[in-house]
Amino acid sequence: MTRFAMLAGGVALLSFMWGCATPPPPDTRAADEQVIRETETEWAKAAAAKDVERFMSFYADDASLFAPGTPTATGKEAIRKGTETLFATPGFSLSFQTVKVEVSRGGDLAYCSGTYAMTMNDPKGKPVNDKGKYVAVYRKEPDGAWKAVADINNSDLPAPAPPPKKK
Amino acid sequence: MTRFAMLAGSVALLSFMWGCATPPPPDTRAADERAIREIEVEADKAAAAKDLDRYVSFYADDAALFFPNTPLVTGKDAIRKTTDALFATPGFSLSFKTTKVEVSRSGDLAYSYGTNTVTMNDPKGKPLTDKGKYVAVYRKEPDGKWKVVADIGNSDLPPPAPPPKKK
Repeated sequence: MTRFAMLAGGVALLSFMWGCATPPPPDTRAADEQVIRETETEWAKAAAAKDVERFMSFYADDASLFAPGTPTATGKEAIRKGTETLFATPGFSLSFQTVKVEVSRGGDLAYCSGTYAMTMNDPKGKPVNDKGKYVAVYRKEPDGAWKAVADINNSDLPAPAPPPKKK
Repeated sequence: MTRFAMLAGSVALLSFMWGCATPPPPDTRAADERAIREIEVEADKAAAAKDLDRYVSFYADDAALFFPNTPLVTGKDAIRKTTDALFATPGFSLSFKTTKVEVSRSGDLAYSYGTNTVTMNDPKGKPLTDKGKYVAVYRKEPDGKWKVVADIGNSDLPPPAPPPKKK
């Protein structure tokens, strides 16, 4: 009986240790990066088409948009309002290009940075070109889709000169 | 012998399965969020003191700084130069406050966003105050310290009206 117990105990211990050596979860970062780059390409297509619905679909419900010249807009309703106004601006066009993507080890959070080019007409109807840079933070939702939770950009071009004061 | 083998086999299987059920890695997100909020408090103090070394110490070596109205700045050396020039601007002061922090499940990537106030003298020496917002992306380094990998902000204020044209 004692030898049996010892043998059973030994087998149990070895099996437990072997079972304990579970491999770490698979590293999905390369695949995640690919998906995020593809997501950004689709997002840029929506911007090029001025398709507000499609453009909005890339944001998480609790996303924040940090657009220059206006306070932070949180939530899809607020972001939609800003997007509608922007897309409706005369002469508006927007294109952007992902440069860098970094994904968390657990494949649930990521950020990317890139460049954009935007055109809008000034009050006199003349097209004004802007070039700049952006950062977007993405979260992977339970269904596996990556959605933007933070979207922020600013211009590379020098600020316009302040109006000259009359002396 | 057969009964012994069956019993040993069962014990082995059960132990293996028990060993396989390794608990997930500990969830450090609450502690990570606190650490990042503390970093932002310290960085704000460093900015108030115009302590360049301390302020720059919060950036990763490969960090990128996305300043408005100027191209992207990458790498700690370049960020130091830019920050040095900024701190030296007449009338300069910077303060910021964290609004939100979100950390990846794997506790290696995170982002924060908040509000900031920047003051600088205009060309005539009059202090101009700008209110804005920022997003910072953090990576946890091998030593456990969180460092900023992307730092981007912009103003909440609308751009100045273009100068009126004489008719």
